[in-house]
Amino acid sequence: MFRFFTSRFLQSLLALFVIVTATFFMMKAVPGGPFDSEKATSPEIKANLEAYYGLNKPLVEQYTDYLKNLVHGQMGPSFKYPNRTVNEILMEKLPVSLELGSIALVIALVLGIALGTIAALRRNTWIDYVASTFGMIGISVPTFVVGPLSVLIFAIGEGWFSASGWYTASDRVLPSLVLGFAYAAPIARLTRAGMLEILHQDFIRTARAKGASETRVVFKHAMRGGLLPVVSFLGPAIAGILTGSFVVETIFQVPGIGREFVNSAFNRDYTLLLGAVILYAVLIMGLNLVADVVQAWMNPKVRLES
Amino acid sequence: MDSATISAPPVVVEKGSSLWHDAWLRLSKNTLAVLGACTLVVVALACFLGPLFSHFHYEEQQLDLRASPPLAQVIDIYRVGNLAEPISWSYLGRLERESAFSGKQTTPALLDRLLRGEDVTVGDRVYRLSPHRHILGTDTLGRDLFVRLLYGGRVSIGVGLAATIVALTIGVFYGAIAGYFGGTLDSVMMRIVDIIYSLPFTVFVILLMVFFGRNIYLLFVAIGAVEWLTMARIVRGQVMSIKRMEYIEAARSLGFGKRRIIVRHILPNVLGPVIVYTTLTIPSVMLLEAFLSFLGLGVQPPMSSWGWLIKEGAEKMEEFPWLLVYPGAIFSITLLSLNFLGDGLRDALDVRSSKD
Repeated sequence: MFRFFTSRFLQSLLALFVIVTATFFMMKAVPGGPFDSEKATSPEIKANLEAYYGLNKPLVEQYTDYLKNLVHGQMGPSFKYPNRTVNEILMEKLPVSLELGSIALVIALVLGIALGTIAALRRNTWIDYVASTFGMIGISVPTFVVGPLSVLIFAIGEGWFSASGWYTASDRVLPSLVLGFAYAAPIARLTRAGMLEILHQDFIRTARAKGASETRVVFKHAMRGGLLPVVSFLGPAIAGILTGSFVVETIFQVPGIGREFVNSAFNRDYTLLLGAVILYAVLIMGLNLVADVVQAWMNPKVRLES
Repeated sequence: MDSATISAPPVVVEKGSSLWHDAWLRLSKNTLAVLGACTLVVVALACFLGPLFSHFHYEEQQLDLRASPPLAQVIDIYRVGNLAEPISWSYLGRLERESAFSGKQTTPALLDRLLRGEDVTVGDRVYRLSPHRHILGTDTLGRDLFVRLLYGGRVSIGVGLAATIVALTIGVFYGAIAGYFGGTLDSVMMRIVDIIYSLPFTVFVILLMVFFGRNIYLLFVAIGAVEWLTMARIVRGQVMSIKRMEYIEAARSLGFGKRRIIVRHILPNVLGPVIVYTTLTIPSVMLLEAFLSFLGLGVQPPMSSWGWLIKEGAEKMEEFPWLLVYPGAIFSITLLSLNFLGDGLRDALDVRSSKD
């Protein structure tokens, strides 16, 4: 188990290094930069700016400098917001995205697992069909259709919740629901498939034969194996709930990290962009690692193979 | 007894049914999958042939008809004396709302005459009911939404197919090589896949689009390059398990050549999962393209794609909801059909799931 964890961890570190390097040099290779503006900047000002950001040094030195700072957790000043460091900006936006993501995740898990389990237990009844249709619609209708439509219906039309912002509880309802529904659908499908496979097996029949209550059979015996596919999906999914919120944060004007990432891409705020990429990479790879470990813990087969 | 009179026992020819025949039977029983396939054919035909039969062109602007609602009855407005070329347009709803024919009062009687197809002359203008309507209305630049949807569909479907082909080609070759040769080569190749797999894709595609311009060819190369990993894993797994199977051993001991074994025995069994996964890759590629377009990073105007139309619609939805509803609907229906078809194919072709 320890070896499994260390090898995965080293692999992630290597991937992170590749990402940082590739992104760094890609940014340098592209013509045009954040200081190109409509009005001409005088050469002196430009030289000063470049000196401030260390852009006048040789490329390799810029790269090693960046890596050195990164090891110490510093990602440098932002190009577009003078006087603010990338760390400050990211730390300000991250909690918003995490809050949105966690509410959505709870909605997705509760709704998805409940629907999937009920559908599997009542296979080929109308409950199953309703749940399966929900799952299919959920994975086919993208958030950028559901989002604006929900604003149109529930915010502009009915006026129940607010359409944008992130101040009051009412602001949080629609974005969390839209993001949560998007992930509830695949979770429901995976749960249904996983539970169906498990409920056929002999040990479930044994448990029933021994007189275990249906609740006990489902929650104690079936779920541990039946939810395995969900667990392996959750690693990337949690990361996706954070990255996938590009769209949701854009639609609902949520001041989170997704919107900041898209904005920094448009503004060519390279240091901020690179910082956001690193943050995403760390989050995604960290969560994938956790998912792998949990999966190994839940499934003896995987544990032995590694 | 004469040997000629001995009748041979009747030979019952068991007509074997092939894997594909079985799969086809199973698929055709799946109502949702069949429905999905039919919908896809209709949508694809409409997108590729529809614009040929349309009266309107996708870039043609009727500025006087900005944001006219679906099926609004278009009124051509001519200058008196020149009934060949309309000088501007209006639609019935607006004439009623503004209750004015070039400054003069609209009356129900006049509107009635218009609807009956008569020319109404007011001042130096002639009003006439146009034979053409905008089925789904027009956008805020006065372009026909229906035709733009069909054109957008070409781009969306085209990107979906092209990127899927890129992903398919890389994935199948990569996976087959890794699976067939095995050993060190396999573990190195699969470790690389693992590493790329853990990269934040969406972030990467966004970066690519920002850095290298919003070029449509780059778009599908970028998406295709992201989507091949799963295909490679599936093909590798299949090839590895199949090449160890006893029937392959049997075929080999019967003296069949490598070529025959690969073509007749390995390929058909790899093909099933590949087809299934291809069908499921297309919607995810289309989703990614639309996602990028929605963020303003996909195709650029005057080209449009479904994602782009949805983005435009979302911006204008408060006043003109149809601009969001129709593109959203056709995009969702297409994805839904592809997913139903993909699911149906998986059930029909996948041996594992066919037992329950």
